[in-house]
Amino acid sequence: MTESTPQHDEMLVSLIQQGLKDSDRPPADVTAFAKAVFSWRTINAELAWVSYDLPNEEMSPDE
Amino acid sequence: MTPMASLARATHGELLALAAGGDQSAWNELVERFSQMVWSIARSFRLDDATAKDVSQTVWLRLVENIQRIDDPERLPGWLATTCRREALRVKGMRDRVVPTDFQYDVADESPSLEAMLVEDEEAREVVIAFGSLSEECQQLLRLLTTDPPLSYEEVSEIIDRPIGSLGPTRARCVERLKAALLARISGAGSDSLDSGDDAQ
Repeated sequence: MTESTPQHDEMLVSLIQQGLKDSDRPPADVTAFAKAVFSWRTINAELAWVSYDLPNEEMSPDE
Repeated sequence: MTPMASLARATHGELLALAAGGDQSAWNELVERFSQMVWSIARSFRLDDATAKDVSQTVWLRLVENIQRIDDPERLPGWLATTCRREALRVKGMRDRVVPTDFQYDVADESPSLEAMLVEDEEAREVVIAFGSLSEECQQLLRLLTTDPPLSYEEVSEIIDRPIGSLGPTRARCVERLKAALLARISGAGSDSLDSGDDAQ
């Protein structure tokens, strides 16, 4: 570690990369949330459908 | 459902197209591929774990919301990085409006973090402990330059809002600082002797 060559520097950077990969893993709940959030992609369409239906249902008794 | 083996070989764009069509397994592969990168970027802004979690989750939510609108799917890493940066700065700005105006190379803290203790390889663990003693700016830069998958210099430049030409020299100085910190740890001299180094130009 006392020598300073580009090869030593790159070795050091790859050790940081290796070390951070272990120490910087995303928590399991973050990854789980990220996977689960996929089901939200249709939420706008579903909400639009619900809000379209609601007035019709509310109007029904008055008719 | 697309076979897992073919998903592992798929490009970012192919995965994004499959996910946009409703393929949950393609989405899961995107999460596996990029969750560490997103997390590293969030952490590079020195956010605590709870806030970094919020930022990461918001990034994935934004991707779901915009999955049909990504112009260039192969630039997905850059899109995620930019979205993460914006969200991290937004939450950081709400708490702390003081932004450092220049890089600092001073030694901040020499105590090993709990995260560093998780590193199995002894040599890498020593490096991560020494890394923890670098300034926030050096830690952020080295973190961003070692993500997996890697970010381009252009993307890193955008994330930290620095000229692209300054990244190479700054990286070299931060690596020099890291070597000094590592040497100090190995020799048991502590961080007090670091100020005599000639690398803080």
